[in-house]
Amino acid sequence: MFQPLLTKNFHYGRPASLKEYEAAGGYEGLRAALKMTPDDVIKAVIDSGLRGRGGAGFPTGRKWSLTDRKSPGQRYFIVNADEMEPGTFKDRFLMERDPHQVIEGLLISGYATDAGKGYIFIRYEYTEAARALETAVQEAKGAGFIGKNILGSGFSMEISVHRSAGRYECGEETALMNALEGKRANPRSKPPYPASKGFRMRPTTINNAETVADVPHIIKMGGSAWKTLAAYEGGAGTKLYGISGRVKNPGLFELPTGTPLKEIIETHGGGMQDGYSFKACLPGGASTPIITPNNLNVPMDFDTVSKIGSRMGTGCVTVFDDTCCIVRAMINNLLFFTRESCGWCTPCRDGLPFVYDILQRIEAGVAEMDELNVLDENCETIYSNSFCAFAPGAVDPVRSMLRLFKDEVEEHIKLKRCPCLN
Amino acid sequence: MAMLSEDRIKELREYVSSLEHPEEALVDLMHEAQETYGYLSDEAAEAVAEIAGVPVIKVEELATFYNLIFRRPVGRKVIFVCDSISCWVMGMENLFEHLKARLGIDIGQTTTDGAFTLLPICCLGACHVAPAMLVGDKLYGNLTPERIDEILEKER
Amino acid sequence: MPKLIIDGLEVEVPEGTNVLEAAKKLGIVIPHFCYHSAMGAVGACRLCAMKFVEGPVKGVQVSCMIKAQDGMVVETADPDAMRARRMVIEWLMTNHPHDCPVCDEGGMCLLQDYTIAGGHGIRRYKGKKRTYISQYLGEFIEQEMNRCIQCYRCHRFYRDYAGGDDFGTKRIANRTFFGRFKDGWLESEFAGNLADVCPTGVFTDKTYHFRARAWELETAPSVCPHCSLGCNLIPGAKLRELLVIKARENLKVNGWFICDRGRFGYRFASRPDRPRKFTLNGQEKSRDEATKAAVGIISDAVAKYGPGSVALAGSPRTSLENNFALKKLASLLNTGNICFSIDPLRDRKERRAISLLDAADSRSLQDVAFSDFIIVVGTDPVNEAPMLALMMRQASLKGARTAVIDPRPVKLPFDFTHIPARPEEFAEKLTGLLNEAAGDSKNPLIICGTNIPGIDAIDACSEAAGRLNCGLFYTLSSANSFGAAVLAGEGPDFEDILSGIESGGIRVLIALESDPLGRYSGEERASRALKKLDSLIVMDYLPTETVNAANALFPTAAYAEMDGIFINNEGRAQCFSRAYIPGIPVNYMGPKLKPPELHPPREFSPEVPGRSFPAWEYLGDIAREMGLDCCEMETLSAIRASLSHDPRFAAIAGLYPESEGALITAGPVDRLQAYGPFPAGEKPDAGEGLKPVDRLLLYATDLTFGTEEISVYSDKTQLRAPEPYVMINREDAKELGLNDGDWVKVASGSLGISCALKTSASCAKGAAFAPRLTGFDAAALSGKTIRITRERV
Ligand SMILES: Cc1cc2nc3c(=O)[nH]c(=O)nc-3n(C[C@H](O)[C@H](O)[C@H](O)COP(=O)(O)O)c2cc1C
Ligand code: SF4
Ligand code: FES
Repeated sequence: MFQPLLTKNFHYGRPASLKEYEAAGGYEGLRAALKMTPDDVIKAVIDSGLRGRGGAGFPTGRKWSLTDRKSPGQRYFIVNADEMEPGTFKDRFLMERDPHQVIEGLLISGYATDAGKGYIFIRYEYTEAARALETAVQEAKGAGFIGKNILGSGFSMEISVHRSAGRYECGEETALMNALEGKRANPRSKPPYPASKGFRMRPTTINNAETVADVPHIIKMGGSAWKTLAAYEGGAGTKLYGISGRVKNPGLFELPTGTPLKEIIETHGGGMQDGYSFKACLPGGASTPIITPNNLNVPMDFDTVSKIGSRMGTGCVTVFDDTCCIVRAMINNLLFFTRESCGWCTPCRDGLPFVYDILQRIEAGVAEMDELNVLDENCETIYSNSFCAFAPGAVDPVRSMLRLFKDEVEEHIKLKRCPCLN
Repeated sequence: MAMLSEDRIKELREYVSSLEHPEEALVDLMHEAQETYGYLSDEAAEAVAEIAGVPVIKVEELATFYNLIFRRPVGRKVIFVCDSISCWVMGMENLFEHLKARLGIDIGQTTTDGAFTLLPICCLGACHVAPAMLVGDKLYGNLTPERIDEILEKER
Repeated sequence: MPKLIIDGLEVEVPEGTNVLEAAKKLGIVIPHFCYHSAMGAVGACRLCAMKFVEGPVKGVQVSCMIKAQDGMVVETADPDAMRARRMVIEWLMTNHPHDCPVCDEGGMCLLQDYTIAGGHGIRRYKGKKRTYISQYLGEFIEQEMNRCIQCYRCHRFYRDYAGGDDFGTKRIANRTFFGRFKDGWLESEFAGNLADVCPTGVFTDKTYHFRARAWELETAPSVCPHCSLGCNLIPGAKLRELLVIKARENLKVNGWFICDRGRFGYRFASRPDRPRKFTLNGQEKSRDEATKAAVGIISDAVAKYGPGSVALAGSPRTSLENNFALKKLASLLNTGNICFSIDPLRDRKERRAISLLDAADSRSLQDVAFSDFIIVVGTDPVNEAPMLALMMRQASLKGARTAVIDPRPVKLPFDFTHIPARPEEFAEKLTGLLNEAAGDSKNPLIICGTNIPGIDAIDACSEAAGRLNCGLFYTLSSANSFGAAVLAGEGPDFEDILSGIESGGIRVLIALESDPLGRYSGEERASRALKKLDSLIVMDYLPTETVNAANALFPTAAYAEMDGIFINNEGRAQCFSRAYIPGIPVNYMGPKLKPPELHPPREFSPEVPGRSFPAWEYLGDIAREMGLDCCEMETLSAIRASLSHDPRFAAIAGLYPESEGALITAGPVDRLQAYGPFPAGEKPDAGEGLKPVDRLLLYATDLTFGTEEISVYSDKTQLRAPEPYVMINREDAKELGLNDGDWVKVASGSLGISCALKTSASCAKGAAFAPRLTGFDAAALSGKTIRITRERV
């Protein structure tokens, strides 16, 4: 029987208190980690096969091992809780229901990377989550989990919760560091990498909230044991999957990594609402390419989803039903991306409005067939020539639309109207 | 207009001067000034700059970058309607129309009684209860036109 | 040094060079907007894409962000790279207003050039353009934000490079806006460079608005006349009117930029009241008649009173050749009464300073940027030599520490330590700082002024530089102060000449682009003395008080209107060339414009109306007319050849326009003491029985705008000149019972001026400062102990 880890305290329907958290085995991971060497902690995380939950799936243990732990001076660990990828609502749950889990994860991560200062960077709209985290930080401080010489280990760490003020680009790790420094959240060029010059030009490690929340469990269970929790050979651990759209049971589920997409939608999501049928879905946020019904058996994990031409992203699935026009869905997506572009580089700042405009012309029935080439050329050049990963994410779903829904798009142009509107 | 009190300004100034990097406090200061002034007026922006000891253009650069800092007056509560993909699937466009009609304003405007300002916002992380909106800092999901009417009644 | 192959050509470049620059070295210029040599690469515009075929980096990449490395093989004409560049231009053009016909940037617009170069010709974007409401940024710079392509150069120049803090990046996405918090004048003294760094027409020179198309301008490489640094520029004129100044690159001097005084101070050249006629006692004459009249005046005096009755005053603002011709004429006339400055105090200090500079410790303006510890002694860079402040900032950005020993509350666009000290304390404070810095600094630099410091401080700086192997950098008063001081050598100063006039020994004065009546610190004394002259012969291009008093007047060509040489504060001789032929601008001859006598001539002639010539030509005419042997002053090349026979000027033989200049070493001036006692760091007189605050020592100071001799004749720079004021220490003011803003009388003996009082906490106690503004006789009180009393609150 599958034992939930991340969500086991979710049943309170409110933030689990320190007492409740400890009663369920909380902070045991930290106690165990502090008895290990930082290198052993990193090794456990490498063994666990944990890959970053922020969307890109970078192996977490490897990221930590790249952090410059030698140079003298302050190091930082940042939890990315900016969660603004449309369709995604996993970190919100983690922080609202079990904030200590994120804090414990951050403490262990900080210990492993020798960071004396931790930040939790949270979007402003997550008022409740921020309150929960702030309360939890106070509780943990009171219990001696945060501060000087934690549990007598000699390791010290302070933690601050930073409430941001909007803008999707703040979630990009280097932009986030600028934001935290009180600068405009434009991304920085890499190199230098955060591992050597990040926040305040000091070595910095940054992980998604879910990623750090996994860490206590990995330490408690041992990396290899955690790894075997996955649903298939190549996977590792458990993962929060969300589902939204016109399904019977939208929500968030902790499942073995690599649970097939079909199972997520049909078993956990309860299948489509009556009167609606499944048309397509975005597997993990607005920047992930579309998946069509013929690929629903794909195990939801980074490599497996990449293989079918999409990306797992955040693992929060948005389902399009048969009433959704794909062109309009993409217009909605581009509305978001054009508005949120940080304005730093040309392809994103001025290219996305171009894409948006062509999509609107197609939807309005005024586009000519050769504008599809213009659309394609825009998407391909934006994809390959932008400064950060924002703009590629913005056009990737549109590129997939041009591959997978060419007929539907062309029909708009031929009919000079949207075929989905009757 | 409400102002930050002299005492509070003094406190904040002390806090900022205890920081190694005063600029890092700007977002917090802007939030606080905004809560006090209602929006980040020119005077509020100048006050923030003065407290942080930075040129006011630095405040302006951040204030106009972020969407949750208002440089223009807003209503007593801002209604943020999620216009991202999951809420779109669940019929967000109709809700917008309904809200506009009920409030008698367009997106970006404030009701004549000063109660509400209507703005779009990107995914609120409430997709499982889409369509969703924030009124002030309160989240409402599973919206229908009827529910919206009730909420407006309650929040006004 | 990495070697790489670009388009089949091998190129070797210094470590750290980016591939875009490496290609440039091969003559392959790939369009780029955000990259700028001065400000580096940020990879924002994404235009400079190239295909990396072999080596450590692969695929289409923006070349500015990639350092050249061994083994790289790069294709610039790869179809994918070309597509990327074409699309970037197409994106930038989606919002561009296409208002090129009414855009001042038209013809020198990078967006125009790159649209052609990038191959974007047909508009495929069918949507609406985004539009902005622009801001009012003052009278120097005009903003038209609709033309913006968001390359961020303006922000990076203004904030990062120049340290301005009233301009920045606002809003987000394709609504990103560059401007101020609120409408108003840009405050940085370097704001004008926005017009140069902006690749399109967002920021343009407002003073030049709608006056000419770029290709109509007559231009030439030139050198700024507005301070002693000698920044390189390009003046542009149309139909005899000087209309615009742009910065010219010189990597030994100003780099890529100039200050706003240099850029906007040009409007003296086309003033309607500029002297354009040869006159004799107010009557218009021909050039020939004027020459004959001058010869008559000189010959009469020589005949009656001997050669010593003729005196000549050259100037630090005129060219080396003009001053040389004057000196030649003096020696032909056999008179020793010649000086090259009408400010004797400054003159002596400058002669001393340049005699102390030698190749070992002299530093160029660019070198300043590479110093790691800078001590400033008695100079206020932003106000006295603006671009120096910009270079110091570059050093500061690299980690240099800066300490400023100056009694004024000096402002600089970076963090530094201010040590408010009076001039007599300079030497001691300097020693203290040097001891502190000794050891941990590899490239220390001492920057010393010549206005406030006394000779003792000037000497101390040189002594310390020699002893500690420090760089040395003196700021001087004018563009050719160095050249004038070398020519002056051990000769007399203006004080001597004035005495000669007062005693009746001197009967004729030839003033070459110098204005004793308007600029001598004791104006009253000068005007009394000059009235005693039999005749005053004046050659100038500015409508000065001395010009108004001239018996014989020769209108001269200004710097942009002739070829010449200025020697900057470092001793760097630089050529400037004639951009246009001087004469009454055609624009002034239209019926609408005043003065009415400038109505266009109805008859046509090959003569340029109001044509003026370089002063050396007039001096040559006079010598020739007098039957003197003038072959060394007859042509510019003869003058230069003759000059270069002097070993100190030998380097100018190889000088050519657009070179980096040639270094002149003045060499020691022996018996410098011979021509008068040095004013040591001016010490307040004891003032028996008076409290210290009742005998404050006043210094006349310079400002970026409003005090420099040439730019005060420019209407636009005068807009930034402040109202007259006197500034003292806040506590001194308290002791006097005065407040900031009070209207006060500043008096010394019978002299007195009234103005507003400014107080400052970082002003040295016991000192007072007043800017040398026109119509405000601060200079007369300079160096005197004064009393300040309230006239009204
Ligand atoms: C435009 C953009 C927005 C992003 N937003 C988030 C975010 O909100 N939360 C997050 O964890 N990662 C976000 N990321 C990914 C981060 O840059 C970074 O990869 C991640 O935080 C690393 O953590 P992980 O290794 O645990 O995934 C974003 C990336 C981009 C390009
Ligand atoms: S792709 Fe460019 S404009 Fe878009 S968010 Fe990244 S840096 Fe900013
Ligand atoms: S899409 Fe609206 S809350 Fe996520």
